[in-house]
Amino acid sequence: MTLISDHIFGQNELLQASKSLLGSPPIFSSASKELFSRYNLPSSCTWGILALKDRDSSHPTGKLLDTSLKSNSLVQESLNTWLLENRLPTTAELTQDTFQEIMKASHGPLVVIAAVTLASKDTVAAKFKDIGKVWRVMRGQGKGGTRDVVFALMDMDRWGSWMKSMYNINSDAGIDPAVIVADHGVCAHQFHIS
Amino acid sequence: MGYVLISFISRELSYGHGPRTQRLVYYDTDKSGQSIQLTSASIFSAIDGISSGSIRPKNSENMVERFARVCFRLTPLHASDSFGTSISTRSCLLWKQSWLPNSGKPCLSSACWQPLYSFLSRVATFVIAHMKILNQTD
Repeated sequence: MTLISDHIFGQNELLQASKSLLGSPPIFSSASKELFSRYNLPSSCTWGILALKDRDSSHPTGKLLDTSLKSNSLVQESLNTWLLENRLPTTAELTQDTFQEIMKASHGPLVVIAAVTLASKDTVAAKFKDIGKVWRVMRGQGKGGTRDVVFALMDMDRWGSWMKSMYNINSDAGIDPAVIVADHGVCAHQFHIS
Repeated sequence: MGYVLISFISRELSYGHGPRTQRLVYYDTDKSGQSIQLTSASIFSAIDGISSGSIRPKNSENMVERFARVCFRLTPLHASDSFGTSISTRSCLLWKQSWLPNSGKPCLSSACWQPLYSFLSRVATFVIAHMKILNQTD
């Protein structure tokens, strides 16, 4: 994540807001004019934050510009929300440590889960990296839906029975890994009688 | 039965975010109805279909869990009421709407529904009563 600014504004607010990230991902700031042209930021904006994921510096998945904020009083709140919504990587592995922050993220991303074994893990990870890159490019063009997407691997040996009960994924699926899209961010009020 | 219900409830509580309750759904087909493959075409077709609402979600929970969850969600709304017909009837309406085949379309006449409704009301009241006890002990 990068803060581009030609003056000091935003630094304090960002420092406050960044506390909610607990240090991950890191935030870098720069006052270089060159970055404005490199990322096509309009000349009217004085600062902006870009979300750069998976070491891909050419395709930001999200931009927050000062011109898009409605009033100064909301800056802190908007920064907090934006940082939390853009904190997850494009590709990840679901483990005991990452499960909570990905599957229960407050902004409810769609999580594309591929069930992998020890043998298929590297191949699938490489494919997910490519597909994740395609998604970042689409995102830059304003396509690919409005919701955040995370591409996640899940170890069949470890989580096999859990995936069977949650997503009906069988461990003897053959060579092609089973792929599902989990959506744990649906609000229950959609369940009401219409 | 009580023990089983408690395990459902604690799972529900752990997924809850205050008044907002999560519904656990997933999708395993793309827009053409095929299983999602590990290709960008298939995955983006699925994401697109999910965004436009053209793919039907599947539920990660079984019917009993969902029933317990719906009842649980209704309890705070009527927490101070006596647990009577209104809650039970609503639970049954939800049941009818979403859980039966041809959801939304009546497939039986109201006369046929009556015994089922009364049975479900009793089940719902039982579930809610258990939850009430649990809420008090919390």
